Amino acid sequence: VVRLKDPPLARMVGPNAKNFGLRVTPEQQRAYLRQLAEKQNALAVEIGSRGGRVLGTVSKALNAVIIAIDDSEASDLRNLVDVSTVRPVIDYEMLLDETVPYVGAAAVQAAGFDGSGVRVAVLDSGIDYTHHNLGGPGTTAAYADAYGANSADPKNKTRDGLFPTAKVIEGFDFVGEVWPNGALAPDPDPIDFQGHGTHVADILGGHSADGAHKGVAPGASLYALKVCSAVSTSCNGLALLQAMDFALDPNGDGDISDAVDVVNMSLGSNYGQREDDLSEAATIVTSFGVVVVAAAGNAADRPYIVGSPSSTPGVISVAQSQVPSAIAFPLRINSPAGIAGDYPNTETVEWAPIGAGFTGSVAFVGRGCPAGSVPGQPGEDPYADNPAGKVALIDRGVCSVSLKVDRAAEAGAIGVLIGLVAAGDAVSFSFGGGDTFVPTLVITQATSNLIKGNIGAPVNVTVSPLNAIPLAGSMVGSSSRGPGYSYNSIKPDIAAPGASVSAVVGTGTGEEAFGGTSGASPMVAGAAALLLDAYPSATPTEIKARLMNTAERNVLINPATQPGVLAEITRTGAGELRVNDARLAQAAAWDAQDPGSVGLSFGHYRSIGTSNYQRKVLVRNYQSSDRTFSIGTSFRYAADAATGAVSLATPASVTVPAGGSATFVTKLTLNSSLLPTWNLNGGTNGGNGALLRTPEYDGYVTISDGTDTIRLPWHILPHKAANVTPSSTNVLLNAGTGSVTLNNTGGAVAGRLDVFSLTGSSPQIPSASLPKPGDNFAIVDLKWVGVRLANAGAAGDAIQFAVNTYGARSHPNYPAEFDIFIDTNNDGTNDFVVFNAENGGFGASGQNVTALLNLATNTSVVRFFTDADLGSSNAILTVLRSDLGMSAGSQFRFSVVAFDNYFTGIGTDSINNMLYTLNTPQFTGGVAPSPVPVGGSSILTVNAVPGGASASPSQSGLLLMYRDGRAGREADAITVITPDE
Amino acid sequence: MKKTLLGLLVFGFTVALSRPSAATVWIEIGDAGLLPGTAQDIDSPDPLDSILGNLGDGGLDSIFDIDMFRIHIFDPLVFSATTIGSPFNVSDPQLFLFGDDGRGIYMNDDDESGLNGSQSLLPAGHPLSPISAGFYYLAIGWFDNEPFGAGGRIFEDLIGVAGPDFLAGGFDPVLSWDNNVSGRIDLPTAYQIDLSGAGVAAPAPEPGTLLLLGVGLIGAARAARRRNG
Repeated sequence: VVRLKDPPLARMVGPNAKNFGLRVTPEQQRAYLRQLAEKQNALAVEIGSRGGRVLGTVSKALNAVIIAIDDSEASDLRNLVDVSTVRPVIDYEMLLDETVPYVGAAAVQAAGFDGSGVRVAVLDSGIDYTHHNLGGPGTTAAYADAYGANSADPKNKTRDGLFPTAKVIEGFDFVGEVWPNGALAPDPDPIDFQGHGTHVADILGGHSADGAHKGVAPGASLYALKVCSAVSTSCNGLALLQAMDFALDPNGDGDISDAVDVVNMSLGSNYGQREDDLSEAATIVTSFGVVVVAAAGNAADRPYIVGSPSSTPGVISVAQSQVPSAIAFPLRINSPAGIAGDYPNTETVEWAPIGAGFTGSVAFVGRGCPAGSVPGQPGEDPYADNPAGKVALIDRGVCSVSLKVDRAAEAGAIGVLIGLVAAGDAVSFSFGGGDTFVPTLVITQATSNLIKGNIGAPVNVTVSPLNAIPLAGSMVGSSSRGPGYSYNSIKPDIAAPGASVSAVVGTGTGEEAFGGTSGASPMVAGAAALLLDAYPSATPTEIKARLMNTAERNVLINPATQPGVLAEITRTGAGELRVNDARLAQAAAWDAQDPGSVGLSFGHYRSIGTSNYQRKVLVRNYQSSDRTFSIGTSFRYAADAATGAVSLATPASVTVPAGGSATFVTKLTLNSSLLPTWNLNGGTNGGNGALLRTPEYDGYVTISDGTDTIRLPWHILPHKAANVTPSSTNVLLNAGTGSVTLNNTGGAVAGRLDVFSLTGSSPQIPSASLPKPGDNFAIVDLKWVGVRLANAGAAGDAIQFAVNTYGARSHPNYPAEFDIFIDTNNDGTNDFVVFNAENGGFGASGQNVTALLNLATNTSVVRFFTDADLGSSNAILTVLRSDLGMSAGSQFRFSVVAFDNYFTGIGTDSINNMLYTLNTPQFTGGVAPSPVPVGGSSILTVNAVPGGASASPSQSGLLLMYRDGRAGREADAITVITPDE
Repeated sequence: MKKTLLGLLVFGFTVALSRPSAATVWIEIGDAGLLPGTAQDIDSPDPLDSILGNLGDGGLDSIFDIDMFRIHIFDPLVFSATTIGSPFNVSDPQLFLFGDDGRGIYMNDDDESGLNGSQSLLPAGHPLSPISAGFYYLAIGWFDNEPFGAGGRIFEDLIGVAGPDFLAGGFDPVLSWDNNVSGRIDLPTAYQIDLSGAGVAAPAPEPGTLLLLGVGLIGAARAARRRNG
């Protein structure tokens, strides 16, 4: 993406221009677009002369030319006079008629507001406009007329007189039928094949021709903007930017006064960051006056994993709550009496539903894989017991769960319990083959072991819908958690049921449940359409505020496993959608300093002492008389309030003139000494969102009078911090020894630290080189690196590398990867690379691990989590010395390279060619007492090591890496001066 | 560079579409300073209608910046300054007026009319309004960046129009700002201040009228400041 310096059209026509009128005429807009086009064309010629090819241009939401060009030429383009940045295109992932009344949409429709006149762009896999639920003929023949027989059929590239329709009034296919397995092949027919977009469109604005079927906003008109693959879950970055342009100017006449009213994007990229270009386009579109709604993501309860573009402040980020009919099935153990009771931590599988349930004695059969399902094992796993007429308990593992159930059913089991073989909550399993099933329930390892331990009793169990626990009003476990990565802000913003039964592509009339935040996002987009029907001049901030101010707060984590426990605001946002309450509200409130965000995000602080923070609240009064509102504050959890660490203060009331607004300040006082001990890290606990509840504080500011009670969520994430500071950053050795005093003055927690040999440093990259929002790149800026020999217990010696950077990262998974290239024998050839990465891949675990890659064999090994905290500039990478094949006395050479592992994959800084010998550093350091006491001090003693100058010539001192260090005090470099220097 | 570009473009639309030809829009040159010694002199030959600018240099810490301009108020009776809200502008600005000696006159955090959201208005005809024609310093910053003098905080801590806090630094020239700004660091930093009664070469009012009204305002302002004190 080559972005040009001139601003896009949507920034040039005036703020909220969609609501309040454009300040420029259509002809002025077109003239401006011509100016942009002239520069884009000139750039295209230049790109062509350099062997590049223009793939597309955008100029309304972003001003950019998207090109294909050799890497070697790309970097030079940024030197051209009109070019702002040159960055790779980022692709995204799709996040795969009871809910309509549940969220209040039926009541709004009944009141006469169904979204009529509101136009919504659905950026997705296209829409099956022939489906009954979307006003089409509702036959498979009609779909065949539109799509054809296969992806090569010309019918899916032409409109064939079948498109547009009364419901889906326009659209475009920006990707074609084969991408990413082939090239982009845009065409004018946005007919869906993948199916995702059809579900989304139906939930948002479904309306059958006979009027019997209705989505959230059945009167809304839809634009089908196909930006996602027909054959995978990928969404194309170029197509998305082009679709945002289309949404601003659907008739393509260069005048964006016809921009859509709402954009829905049920797609995203985990750990959403402000540098993302689609997020920047969304910001501009929102500023223009279009409501933008996006799915939070389906990466579960992991800190900071909420995705972009939903992480953009002005976008409404939608989490997934349970549909009203959702239930959990506890496992009831009837006997023996010693273990009798309900065990609610269970999951079901879609392909073997509980149905009427079962009661029987349990037969533990073992792993239970059928013949041919285990690689290298021709026969079946022998059964440890005969499950005929009983409930089969089967261990998870090796082969598909559905094949295990199929075998047990064939053997006569009346039901199946799948026992997990690792600790953790029960999980569901997808279909993996088989055709004979009995009701199946997944249970935890702990429950499974309990049954196995009493199997001779025997164990009698019941799984029955009569014991089912309603899940309505609770979160779905896979819904992505905040806070937002870049701003430590409240994200997601709101929750909505995400598994509505909705239209299935190509079936004519078929329906099935469609899960994930992908299904939740169009619930909120449809709700926005209803509100715009009721309040056509409302700005995006007002729509978002109405939705958040009136959301249902009583949202639980899981009534089955944690009865009565509220879900955190960084899981649910303001709460669960209640659009009728949003419509009826005669007042709204939002953050005056950051209106697009609405909620009051106080941020993340590594905190010592007592600090004060404030957010200003703006209250709008939509009635025609002055009103005085009382103001109150509350905590979401009584335990948080009880710590006394956080307190809030507001005025008792605010008077707001008729039709006007007024403001008040919410002051938050943070007493760090009363904070709980920080319990998170980016390694073992990096994906453990449940642990966030301890340090997070959240709640509501309530604004009420006799007519309205509206609420704003507030949130702060403080980290109880230390303040270790050396008395000097130089130490002069006397007779080979010296010392420095380490003070922890004002620290709220004892100062833990690790001492490394300081082997390298790097200057700070100028701020002018750092990315701005939408720039599609990250800079990882090295400051100091160090190394040391450590004891890994029974595993032997370990080598640890310490990296400290300018600037901190909310989560160590992204955007920083540190690669340590090691030349073990100092022969000039690197032998290994030590690097950090997310365990399991992008968004898979939230845990950061350290890997060791053997460059000769291209094999890797992972043995340790990366020692790196959230909100930190530090990382410690550990590998076994034995894995490197080095002796402790080997002198080795190493270089540290910092990569942007989120956007570009390129190196952004390095410290090279450091020489070191593990057992012979130049200097060693020890701290006593350690950790440094709160308010006290310790002594860092430095000793010279004979022979160290030649064995470890790169060492210039000691690198102190502080845990829990307050901002700016996470590391110190202590330069050691010997008398002859 | 970014600020110049935005300023010029907005200026172009403003002039073309909504401004009379005699109107003057001052576009910040470089980055105006935050204290009288570094404030930007506005050399305007006509009545000054608007000031367009950006806090800071467009970098990620620009929300902490203050821009101060030396303006000439030719008609204190009608002098007013108001910020114009937009998703692209500072959403919660504060305006401050200092005398030519750097002492606080009045400031505003949020227009109290209820019609302008969290934008800022230094109103005309307010008891704290400037009394005499002359040179003043007009400053803009994000909420809640407050000026300090040798004796402490210069203005009272209010939402609305506030005068000098004479129990703290209200008698002192501005020396510093407390940088007490919270929120994400890439919030918008562009601003537009619309003014009346300011400029250099404005038509002079009838001397007698000016004198009479001036005397009345002096009395009102003194009364208000006694109450504040």
